[in-house]
Amino acid sequence: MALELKSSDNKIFEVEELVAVQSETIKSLVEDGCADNVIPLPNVDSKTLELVLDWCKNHVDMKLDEEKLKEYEDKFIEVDQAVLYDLLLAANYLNIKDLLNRACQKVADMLKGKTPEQIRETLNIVNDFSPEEEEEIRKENLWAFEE
Amino acid sequence: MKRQRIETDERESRERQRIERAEIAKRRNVSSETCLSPVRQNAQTNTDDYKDIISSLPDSLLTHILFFLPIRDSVSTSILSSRWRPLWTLVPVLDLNQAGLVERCNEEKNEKFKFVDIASRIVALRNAISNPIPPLHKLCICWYYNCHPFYVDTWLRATNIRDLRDLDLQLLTSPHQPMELPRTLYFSTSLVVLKLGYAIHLNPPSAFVLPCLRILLLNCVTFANRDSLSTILNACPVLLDLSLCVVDRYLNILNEFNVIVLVATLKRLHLCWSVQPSSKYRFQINTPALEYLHFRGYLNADDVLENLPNVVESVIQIKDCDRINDHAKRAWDFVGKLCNVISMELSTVTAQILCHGSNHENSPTFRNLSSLKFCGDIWHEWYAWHAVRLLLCRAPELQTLVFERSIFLGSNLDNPNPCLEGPLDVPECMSSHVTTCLYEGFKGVENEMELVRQILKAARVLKTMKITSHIDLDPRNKPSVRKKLRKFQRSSRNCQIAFDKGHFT
Repeated sequence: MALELKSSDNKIFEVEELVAVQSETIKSLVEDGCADNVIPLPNVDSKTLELVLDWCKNHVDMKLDEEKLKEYEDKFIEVDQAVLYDLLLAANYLNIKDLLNRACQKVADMLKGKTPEQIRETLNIVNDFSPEEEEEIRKENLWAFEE
Repeated sequence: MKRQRIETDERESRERQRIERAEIAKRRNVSSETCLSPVRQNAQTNTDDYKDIISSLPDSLLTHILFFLPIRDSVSTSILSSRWRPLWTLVPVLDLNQAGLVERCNEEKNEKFKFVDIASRIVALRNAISNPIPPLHKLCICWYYNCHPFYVDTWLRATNIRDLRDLDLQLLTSPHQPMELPRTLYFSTSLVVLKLGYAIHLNPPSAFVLPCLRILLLNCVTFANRDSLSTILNACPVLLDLSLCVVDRYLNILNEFNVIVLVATLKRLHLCWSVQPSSKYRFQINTPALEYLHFRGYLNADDVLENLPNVVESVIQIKDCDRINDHAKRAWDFVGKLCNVISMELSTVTAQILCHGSNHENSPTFRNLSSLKFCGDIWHEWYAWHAVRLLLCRAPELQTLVFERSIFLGSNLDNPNPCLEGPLDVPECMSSHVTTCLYEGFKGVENEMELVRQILKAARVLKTMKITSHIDLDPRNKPSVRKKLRKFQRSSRNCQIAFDKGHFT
């Protein structure tokens, strides 16, 4: 059975139900009988939706081959930051647990082992602490900031 | 009439919304083909401020990202910005492992921050920074060196355990008094997993219920009295998975101790029974729903194992002890209770013990056994093929035979093998069912070669013989080993032999 999904930029994707219901959000809609018409996804653009559906399809196809699936996942998640966050938001909105976990893990890997200064630079985070405030937080968690 | 009105209203409101969206889009001057996600729109329109993309994610997602970081990295993010400061406390998991937090655990006194300092600080701050205190679903504390159970007791009592689903406390090498669990924990309606090890003393209340507990692990803990364990097991109506490690040295203060496992819901049991047969402690297992049994330890005359018709997978590692013939009889009785098993793993010591009782009248037949594995320090002194044959004769439908070398399962029996005499019948399964044979950790020694030779000779329908060499096998000797293997007579015409990466038919 095929479902029709519409991205925020009005592109229609036809996809098999088995693939689409990896999203718990879509699965609930199907179970409630609301999936007869096109399902609008106003929070996901077409570029991201295409990637997400690729993930879902491969998870159905490679379900029994753990090694192959891991290889695919590692390759899939090698994207630039902006795309990664789009995937994160989409996986969250569509409630696709394994994609959400993998994307979060990827961001976490970017942060692991870095100093706060390095993290701020990688993620473009603005430091809004005063020097006194920052010193206070450093004292609070001195053990974590030791080299 | 009413329904028509509702439908018209809906249509009108949808129309209005559509017009609104079009206006907004026009104002933003974004065409439908190049519609960007909100994340990238922000990045583009605020290029002067260089606003960070990651901070546009909601708290719940940032917290989810922190979940994948070790605690040190997670806590460090508190200094990134004011938004990030409390986020690490919102992660509902605390994993405090001494090995991960302290550089050199065994020389802690030379470290600036010891595990007790770090863990105390983390627990205190987690309860102080965010208001209300964020729920904690999982707490793991692993303290290897110089453990002070008193502190763990303190941290546990300072934590809101109302939402705790998973508690794992491993408190090793403690010269100090073990801790007892806070009473409220015994009445938890959320706890699903409970794992306790070593310096913990269990003194449960006389009547309590853990309605959600599915997984219980008790590793070398001490008990208040002989019925403490039974009390705990009776309090778990949905228990699925039980791991018990009982060492008699830890029970010495108790005159009697009963390990009675009468759990109707139990599906998995792992029992490590390091209790000498000469001691007064006994176990009794009656678990009709059990599907997986892993037993390691000694067998005593009064140990009772019953009602195991559903066990499909088992791992048996019976330890050697005196009076080998009695022990062998008990071993057969034990193994006989698992007669419906589909997959079985035996330590080589177990196989040797069983050999000594091979004239046992009621030795069972394993009609459903499809896969049999022998694991251990294989084939050191004794004639392996006899022990294997003995068990194969009782497994008429066997398809897969596996050997794995492992040094962790005890050394071989002192008693000489009694099976050296007598004719060698070919087991039925070898003629008709065994299709796969695997050997992991092959060193090419004489006993191993003989075992492989016998199998290849007897197995008429063998399709695959896969041998992977042990790391100790000198690569220079591999070609000669391969040559010898190739020369062995093969009963099965279609048999393919694989030695490491080389296949030959």
